[in-house]
Amino acid sequence: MTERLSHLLHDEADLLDIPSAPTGPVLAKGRSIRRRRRATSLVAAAAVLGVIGGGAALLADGPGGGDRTSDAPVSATERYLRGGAYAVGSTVYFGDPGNGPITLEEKVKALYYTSEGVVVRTGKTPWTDDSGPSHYALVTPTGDVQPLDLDLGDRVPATDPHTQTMVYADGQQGAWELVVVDISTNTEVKRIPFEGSFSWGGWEAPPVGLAGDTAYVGMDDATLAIDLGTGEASVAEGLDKATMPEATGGHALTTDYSTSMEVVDLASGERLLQIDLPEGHHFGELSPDGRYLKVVAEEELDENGQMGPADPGFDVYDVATGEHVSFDQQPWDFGWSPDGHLVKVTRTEVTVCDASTGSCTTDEQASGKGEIKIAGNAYES
Amino acid sequence: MARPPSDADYAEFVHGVWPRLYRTAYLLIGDHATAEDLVQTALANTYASWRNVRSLDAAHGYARKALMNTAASWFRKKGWRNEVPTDVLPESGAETDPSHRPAVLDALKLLPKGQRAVIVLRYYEDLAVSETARILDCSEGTVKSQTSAALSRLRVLLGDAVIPLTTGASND
Repeated sequence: MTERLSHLLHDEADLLDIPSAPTGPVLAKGRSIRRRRRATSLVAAAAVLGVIGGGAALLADGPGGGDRTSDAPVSATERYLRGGAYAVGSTVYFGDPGNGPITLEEKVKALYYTSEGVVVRTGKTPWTDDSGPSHYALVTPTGDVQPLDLDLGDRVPATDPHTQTMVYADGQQGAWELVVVDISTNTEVKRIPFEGSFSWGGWEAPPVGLAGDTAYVGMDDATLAIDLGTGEASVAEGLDKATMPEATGGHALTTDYSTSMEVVDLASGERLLQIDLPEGHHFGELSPDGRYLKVVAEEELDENGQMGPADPGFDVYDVATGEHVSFDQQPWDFGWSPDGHLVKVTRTEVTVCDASTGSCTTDEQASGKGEIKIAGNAYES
Repeated sequence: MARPPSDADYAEFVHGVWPRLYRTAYLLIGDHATAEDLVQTALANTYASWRNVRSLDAAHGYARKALMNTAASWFRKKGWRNEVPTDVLPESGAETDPSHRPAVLDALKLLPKGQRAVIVLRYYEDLAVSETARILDCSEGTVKSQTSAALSRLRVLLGDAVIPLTTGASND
């Protein structure tokens, strides 16, 4: 419904009077910034070596140092767990370009990890906010395609890479239900009623998260934890209210984006990891199994104390040990595999990196046209 | 380390990307002078960060990201999320004389900065909800609710012909 708006925005923007490009001032300002950074980086490098000298061994095998050979995991499922899944246009790949491919009739909009393979959302376009309809199917690493009787509209479902369950919320204010689907048998297992107000998001029903046999539902006043076995609902301690429930692997991330990040165990409330952030603005993302935390600096202070865009790169923390490795690449190019490897897919290559060592392997991408979608990444709108 | 481009090469690059970046900046900011300053800052940062940019082919994407980050920073400093809609907007979907309807860019200026930002990022820059949320430092739900509110207001201002009123699921 927004194609016309998009066209008009472009048409009217094209009519704007554009001032001449100030190439001289741009170059002068760029040189000035670069000089300041060089002067500061000499001091900063010495300080970093003093603080995280132990990280040098890890970084020696880090990005750029990884070999370009494939270890060729034994089975398709092992490739899937290590290398994840992605789609290019209508074609689904598991683990690496040589695993699969499985070509579907429609373009892939999004992929969700489960223990049986990926639930694939498809349609006439690769975008999730088109006029629909969307169709769903379970695609397994061995090449089976099982259509699923799902009609989700714009509801936000959740899966867990280690279960064969998909959950989503249905109903209306005052009469919500959590729908539990066994995607391996294409059956709706149960509907669990729950209470609460939902008005903070733009979806038909509140968004949900899933960790094992517990679903998390983001309501206005609290995020609810619903036991799929007993149907009991309680307030999920450690998760913010009125937000997308992030409960990967039973771990939750809390942060104020500027001073610290914490990873807590949802079952026990135990604080598993606490990171003091340098001054700036930061985002965090847990791996699907909850074992790793990606920390991205979106902004940082420059040499003059001014806030500006951060250089590309990100850190990945091992939640259990607190150790981290650094990646000198664009952070949001990477998704995750089910077992916590980082996955990057481009038109020419597929790169899989070990989140605990930073070592990467790269394979040539099979040729293909269409939008690239990495499983587990959010494409819903 | 990638060798920085020559001044002539970078000047040619700036000439090439300036119009598109300027248009995006103007849509975000709504002011010519500030938009020019924003793009200039983004391109200077891109030049200074050449070890990460590495090639002129990648520079456009880097500059675009730098522009968005800087704009988001400016929005945050001005508390964009706390802004309220202007009182010049009708509160209901009452019929509006089509001859009095503003152009899209004029209508955009009547939105709060947060709503304007999500419209520009999503429907001019074609960014996904998740990327928009990251740039604007808010949840994906906030992006969706801001988008929904913005489209509702734009529908009143511009009419159903521009933004049709759909029933049922708005995103599927």
